[in-house]
Amino acid sequence: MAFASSLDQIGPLAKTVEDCALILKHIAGHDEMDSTSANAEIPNYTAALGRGIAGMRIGVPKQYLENGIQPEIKKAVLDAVKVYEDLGAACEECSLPLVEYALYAYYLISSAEASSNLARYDGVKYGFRADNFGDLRDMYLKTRSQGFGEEVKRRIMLGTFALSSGYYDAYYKRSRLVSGLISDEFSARFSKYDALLTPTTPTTAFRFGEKADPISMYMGDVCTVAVNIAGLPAISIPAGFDGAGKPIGIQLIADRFEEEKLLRLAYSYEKVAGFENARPELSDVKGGLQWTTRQS
Amino acid sequence: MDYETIIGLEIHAELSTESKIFCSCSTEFGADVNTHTCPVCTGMPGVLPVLNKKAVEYAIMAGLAMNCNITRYGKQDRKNYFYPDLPKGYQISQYDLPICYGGYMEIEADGQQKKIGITRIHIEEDAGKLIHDDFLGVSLVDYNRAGVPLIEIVTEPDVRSAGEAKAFLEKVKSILEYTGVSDCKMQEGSLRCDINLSVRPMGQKELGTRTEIKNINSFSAAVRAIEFERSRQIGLISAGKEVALATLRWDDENGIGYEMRSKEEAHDYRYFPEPDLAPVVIDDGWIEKIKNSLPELPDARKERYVSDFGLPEYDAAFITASRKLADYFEKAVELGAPPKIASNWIMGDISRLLKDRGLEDIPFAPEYLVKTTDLIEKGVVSTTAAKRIVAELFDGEKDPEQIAKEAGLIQVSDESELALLVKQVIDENPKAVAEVRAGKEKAMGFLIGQAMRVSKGSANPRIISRLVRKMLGL
Repeated sequence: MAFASSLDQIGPLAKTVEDCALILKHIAGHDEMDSTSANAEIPNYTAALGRGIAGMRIGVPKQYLENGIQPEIKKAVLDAVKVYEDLGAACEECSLPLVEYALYAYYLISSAEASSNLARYDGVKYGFRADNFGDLRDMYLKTRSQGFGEEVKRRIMLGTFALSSGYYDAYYKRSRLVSGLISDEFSARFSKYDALLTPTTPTTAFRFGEKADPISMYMGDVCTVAVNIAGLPAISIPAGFDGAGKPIGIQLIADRFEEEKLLRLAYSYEKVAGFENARPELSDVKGGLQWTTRQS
Repeated sequence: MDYETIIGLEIHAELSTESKIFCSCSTEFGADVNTHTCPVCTGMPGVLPVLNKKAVEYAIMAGLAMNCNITRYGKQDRKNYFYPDLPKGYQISQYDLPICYGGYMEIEADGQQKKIGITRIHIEEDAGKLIHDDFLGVSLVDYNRAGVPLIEIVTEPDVRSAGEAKAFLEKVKSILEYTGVSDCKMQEGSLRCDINLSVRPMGQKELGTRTEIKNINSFSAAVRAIEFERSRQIGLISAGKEVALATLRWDDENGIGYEMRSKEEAHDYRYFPEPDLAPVVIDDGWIEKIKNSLPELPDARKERYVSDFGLPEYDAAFITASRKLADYFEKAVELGAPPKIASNWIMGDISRLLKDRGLEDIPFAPEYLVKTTDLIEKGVVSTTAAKRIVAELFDGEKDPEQIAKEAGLIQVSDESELALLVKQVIDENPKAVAEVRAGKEKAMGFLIGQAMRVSKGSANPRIISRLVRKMLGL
């Protein structure tokens, strides 16, 4: 079920770019059970992979490499720039001044939609229902208080607030306007560049339970949410490891319906960098890696 | 002090689509509980709605028939609230971009023509139905109705009386039936209305505090609810009290509105654009196509009946108010019935019988009415006898002449047979005969009446009349 219907997008998670292209070929296209899916022709993604990228133009938005970015990740992005230049692409720094607002807009819109999407878990028809309750209102309150986890409840409350009378204009509506502006900003860049190159995350993986503060958790999404806000395709590909052996990803973003370009760029990089089969040296992780199993 | 009543109406009409608004389940009424349901209309996780194009088309059709502007870009919005009959926890409706807006309809009430403004017409999904089982002490939900497409027609606060409200509602019903947008079956809940009402001293500019009355299930209930609420509000104001902003639930059986919720309990529906659906783009070509498919509407038909069939205005208005009656009338005229005679039957005995039996459709084909009027025309049966024939036709289609024969309703037109009868009446009523001779027409009527009585209604009164005059040498 959708978390945030207008932002969610399914996509392949694969071991190689080619696998990714193969899956995408089969899941792309119009679905008559989903009126939000585009009724557009599906390109032959795999056929395009080996065509090379000479002459393609890549923008590197500086905002993605600024505040709070782990230096090893920044280096991975800049190394990728060199790879692309060697392959015949033209790379240059560019700017997306509004992209810093994407995270805020994303969390307001997604929480608003999630608060409504999750309303069906009311204990009436299916799923969890509290054991002891009085009237209908009490059943709703107890069922939803007991059935949802902390983070889900936090987002439902945030989203409900953002949609409430008197706050809608300031939060939900404004977030929508900001999304439009961010989308316009991306579109303007795509008149000049075939794709944008950014990190996938600001830092490599943190330990389970290490971050208790929800805001810093949300900050982990800072590099990836803008594409959801702007409605653009993006691909994340392995780009090496940090000093602790934890994987680094780089992200390529293209204009609407330009998945083919993304796959070509990703494929060309993968062939040179060869990280697709690399495995982290887990034994070398400083302090030893703590595998934690969630109790069900 | 005189008070002015300010009324706005919200009318919900179920659309006549075959399938529901966001899934392919049937909209058929009266099926076994929860048999017309699927994962979409029961709000299962992981499903998406897909908008039924026909529902949009019907909304556009209603809008065009009610002189509305049609939006070129519409969208659906979520209206969020919790209730067991609402499986998703929100209703998909339209908030700020309804399909139709800024229309009006002409009505005639209290002998005057009047325009009632239509603020908007939007599409939305219906909710399920709660079934309270007192025996088991539980409430159950039937989701057959969940997802049935509705249009909501919202008027400007232009209505000033219960009479105007009734005239407007009747006009809406008539137009929805004509266009086929809705079958408007009140008893199946396919037409429902809410009333917003306030009063203010005559001449005052500012509007008074309004209340909303819900659960109105018939036009006559609307009239009663308006009269009740108007008196209640005037009573409060006259007593120096204030009318409180509230929603009332109308209890038609007891003729009382109960407060459902006050302003403090008013819902915050947290409307926002439905992200599971793409916007609705309506182009001129589509609107034009729908416009061309609109049938002749009641007003135009009424004018035609006056000009082409020579019907009086009143008759034409009465018959064209219902597409079913009008279609029936036209078919009867086509089959040879004189228009005024056909309209008399439809407006008179047939309408009364429909009402008495709680029927919406005339249960016999127009051919049978035409055959019956032919029998009167040919002097085979009297008008009184024909009324009995029509009543019997309500029990089943049967040849009118056959009915007349079996019930002994055939008029005796045989002059030699009737002459004997007339002679008997003349012999038995010398006083009346003398009066007739003296030129008293009233006595003539008495003699004919006597002849009819003796013949047990089977004599042809026209022939009797002629024979009486002949025998008396008049």
